[in-house]
Amino acid sequence: MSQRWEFADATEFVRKLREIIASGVRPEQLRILMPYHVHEVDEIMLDKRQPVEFIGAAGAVVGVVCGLGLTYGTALAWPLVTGGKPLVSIMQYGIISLELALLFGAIASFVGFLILARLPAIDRITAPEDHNGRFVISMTEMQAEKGQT
Amino acid sequence: VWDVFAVNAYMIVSVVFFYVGMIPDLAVIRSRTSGLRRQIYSALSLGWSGTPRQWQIYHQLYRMLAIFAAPLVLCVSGVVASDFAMSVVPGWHSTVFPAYFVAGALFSGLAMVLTLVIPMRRILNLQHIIMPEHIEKLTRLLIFTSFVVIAIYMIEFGMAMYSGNIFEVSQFLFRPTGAYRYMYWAMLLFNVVLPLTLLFRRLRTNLSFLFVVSIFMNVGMWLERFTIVVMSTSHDFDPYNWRVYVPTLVEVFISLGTLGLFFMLFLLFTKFLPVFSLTEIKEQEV
Repeated sequence: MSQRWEFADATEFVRKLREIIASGVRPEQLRILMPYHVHEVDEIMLDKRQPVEFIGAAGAVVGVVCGLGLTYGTALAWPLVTGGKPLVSIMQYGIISLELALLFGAIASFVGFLILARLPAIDRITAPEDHNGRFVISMTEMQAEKGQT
Repeated sequence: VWDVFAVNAYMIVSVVFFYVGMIPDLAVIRSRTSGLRRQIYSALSLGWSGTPRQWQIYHQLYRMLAIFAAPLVLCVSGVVASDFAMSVVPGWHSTVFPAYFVAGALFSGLAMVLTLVIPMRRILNLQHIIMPEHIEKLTRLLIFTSFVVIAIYMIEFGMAMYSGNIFEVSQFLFRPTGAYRYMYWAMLLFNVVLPLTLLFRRLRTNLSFLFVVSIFMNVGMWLERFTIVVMSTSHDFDPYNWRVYVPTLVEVFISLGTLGLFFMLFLLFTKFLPVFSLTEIKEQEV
């Protein structure tokens, strides 16, 4: 048995969703599609934040290490003293580390997003799940077993 | 080496930021097209469905990209400016350069946004989305950045004169009186005098005037780059190097070609991709 509700209005959609959850249906038994983000749904459906920030921060740290490793490594591998200045200089190499921290942080966040949001979803690319600008709540037996949200 | 990392990092992060911002909108376009176009938009939207989990992660990602992209804007302009400042060429060797380039980038960027947005909102009938008050707020920001640019012009000139360094003094006297003096005065007219006209509310809210002024500001910023690069190198510390640069036809057409490429890409963007975020506007309306 499956049930499906569609709403043009976000308020009506949130009210119905609260009603369904209050009736004892677990969030994982529902599949919800939203044309835009409604913050109340996060409180109702999702019990925790995803670790995107953590993945991004880890990427930034890797960027710092790679930046310092590259600059120190290349300077020490070919030790050419210029004008009596030290071989390695944190002032100059810090800039490359900062740039790589920002680059790797952004790329890691994006990759984290793709993994956590399960994108690209090949089955949804070949058979897209269109909501036509409406909020959709659907509940099927199969979803209840698979525990999809 | 700084530039390789700065420019490439900026380009990659900008492309990711640009693309990520479009994913939910590409899914909207997908639902309104058919055939091959639907397949292409479907692939570009990565099979986005709009589940609560996807939206939550999307917003977290967008915040993170903003956190990484904002310092990168300052970093890339600052690094390119430092490349100039590290040299000994008079007119380049100045500690004010990073702030100069950041302020210049903001100023020219805002002017370019006005140049593109004012005709676009009329041609694409976006008057109900991009309203006059949005453009006025943009203009206020433009006025503020123009004040920063004006202050830096004064600081740069003052520092050169106060330094007593004959090469610096010679370079900064060469700009308003030398072979390129018309370009220098045009730069001052477009970047200093024209922004001041926007202090008058009546002119600031006149979109036709704003459009014309924004084009002149873009020309002014191009002249500023010309001033920095060409005037400084054509009158450096060694009189043997002094030359008056005249571009060849090939150089002129390469420059015009870059403009053509930019506007072609912009027109393709407005034709095939969402020019504003549909989902964000819906979200704000609610």
